[in-house]
Amino acid sequence: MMDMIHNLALSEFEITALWLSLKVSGIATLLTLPFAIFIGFTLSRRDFLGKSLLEAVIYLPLVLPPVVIGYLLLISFSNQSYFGRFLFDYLGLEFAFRWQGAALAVSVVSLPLMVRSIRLAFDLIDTKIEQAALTLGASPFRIFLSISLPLALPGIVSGAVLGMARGLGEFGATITFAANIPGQTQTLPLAMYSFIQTPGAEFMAARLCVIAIVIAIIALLISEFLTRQMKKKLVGQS
Amino acid sequence: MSYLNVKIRKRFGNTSLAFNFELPKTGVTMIYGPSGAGKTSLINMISGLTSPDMGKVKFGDEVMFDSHAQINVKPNKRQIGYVFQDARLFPHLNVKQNLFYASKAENNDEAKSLIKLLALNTLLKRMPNTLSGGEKQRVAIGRALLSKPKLLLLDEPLASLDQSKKKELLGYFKRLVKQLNIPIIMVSHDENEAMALADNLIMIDKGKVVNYGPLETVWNEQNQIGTTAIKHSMAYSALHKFDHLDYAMSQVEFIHEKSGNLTGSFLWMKAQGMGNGQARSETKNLRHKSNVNLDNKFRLLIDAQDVSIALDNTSPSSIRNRIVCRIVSCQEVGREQSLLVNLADANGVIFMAKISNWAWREMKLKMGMKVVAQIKSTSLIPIY
Repeated sequence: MMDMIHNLALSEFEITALWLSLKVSGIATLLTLPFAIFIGFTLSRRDFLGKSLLEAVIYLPLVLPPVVIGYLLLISFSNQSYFGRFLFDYLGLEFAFRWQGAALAVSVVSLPLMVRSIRLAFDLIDTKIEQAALTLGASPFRIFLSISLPLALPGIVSGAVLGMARGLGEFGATITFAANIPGQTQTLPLAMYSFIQTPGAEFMAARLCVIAIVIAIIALLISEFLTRQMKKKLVGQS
Repeated sequence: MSYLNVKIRKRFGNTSLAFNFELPKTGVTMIYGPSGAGKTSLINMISGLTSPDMGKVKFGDEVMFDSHAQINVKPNKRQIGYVFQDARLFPHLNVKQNLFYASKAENNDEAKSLIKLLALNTLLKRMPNTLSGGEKQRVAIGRALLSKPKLLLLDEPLASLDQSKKKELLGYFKRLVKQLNIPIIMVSHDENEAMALADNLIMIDKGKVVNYGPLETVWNEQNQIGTTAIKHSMAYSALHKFDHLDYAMSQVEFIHEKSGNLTGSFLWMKAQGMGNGQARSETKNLRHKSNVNLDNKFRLLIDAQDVSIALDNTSPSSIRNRIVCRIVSCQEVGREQSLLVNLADANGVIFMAKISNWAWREMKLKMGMKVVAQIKSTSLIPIY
């Protein structure tokens, strides 16, 4: 016990859990971001039939218990389901009880957070500026790339950081859908849960707790820094 | 030959707009009218940013909007330049990037000379939020022109500026307008802007075109019928002919509004561009202007209140301009107990005097009567 207190270096087990956490939420965030940007922009700029329904579906994971999400993912993506079998047979994709499953769970849970922040960023852009670009002959796609996207970048970055932070903490949906397999799907929160369940491993749990806090603080600092840098660039160095 | 053909209708809530006019291929057209008359809506419909409910918009032979044929060309395909009241520069791009947003030709002579004309050389690296209002508008104008538009639309580009900046930007405009070979449509409710820049006037009120055509014709016609929307004044084009060096006065000659020829009617006004010191050192007291060029004409707005009527010019008067005229028409002004009297001189130049009903009766004025129009020279301010 005493030597563990003095050992500040991370154990192999901790590194595995930490690395898995970062991998799962990192990949999930990267893959979800384009969709979040597309959905956020669409919700901000377009009116279409079924918009409210789409919004409700996207924001649903914010209010649903994560276990429910895990359960829904399980019944739709497992090998027992038609969809899951289709994905496996034709695309070689398997989700349940794999790290890919953990990433999918993170995607679903963090999408609404990312969409919200990104949509707000697009809402805040004065559409008159986009109109001006239109009168200069720019196509809507070029306007999106050259005007809307750069102006929304601070919001997009903070959305991504928020989504990733949410992903790092994902527990309920992951444990239900991807289970708690060390080295496969056992992310930091899941490992911590296992330690708490194990008598005498409270200290191990506390160590993971500190790691989680440190990561969260680093993420917040990076997000702050990036947002400030981008705002400075937008405003210009006078 | 008309270039721009507009015949459109649009309803916004319970106001309806109906515009119908044609414009020539070159020159500045001012859309003039009180706020809320639908000026901005009109140019937004020309630009395609808003769509009319029905009608037709044509640039030359190209149909931009036709409700029957279901044609509605997108704004980005209309090749228009639009300068907004609030500049609308892209905040994340510097001045140079803003200017060349629509064009790749950064190094051609045309771009260089435009940047020079608008005095943007020193601003190229700056970000929009570090620019003053006037600088922003200059960048916006440059940006619109570098997109090589077939038509330039300006929505009160001077409205957000203070008086001195307005004057400065007006100067840039004047120089620019001479070089551009495209129709320019400018929204304004400032008569000085209209007088300084416009060749044509589209006067609109309550969502309708009240009158349109050459500026002086439209302005003066609207004044003849005593429209309350504008103040009672007559617009003229004039040319600077002589300087009276002893008294720092200049003589100007009126230009016929339709033909553009000199009329032979003259007016004295305060010296134009002549220093007092220089005036005294000269021996000859009348100097012929060396470069009498019709391009140097300027506008003159004579307020009807500055014109009075005398029965004859036998007794001396402090008023320098005393022109023998005939009364050609007369119009009552609202409930003011005053009259707008139109007077024509021997060369057909029309002056308008605002006098009281009392004076009219006491002087026993009549249609066709020979009188003297008196205009104080100090009240005359040329608009360049």
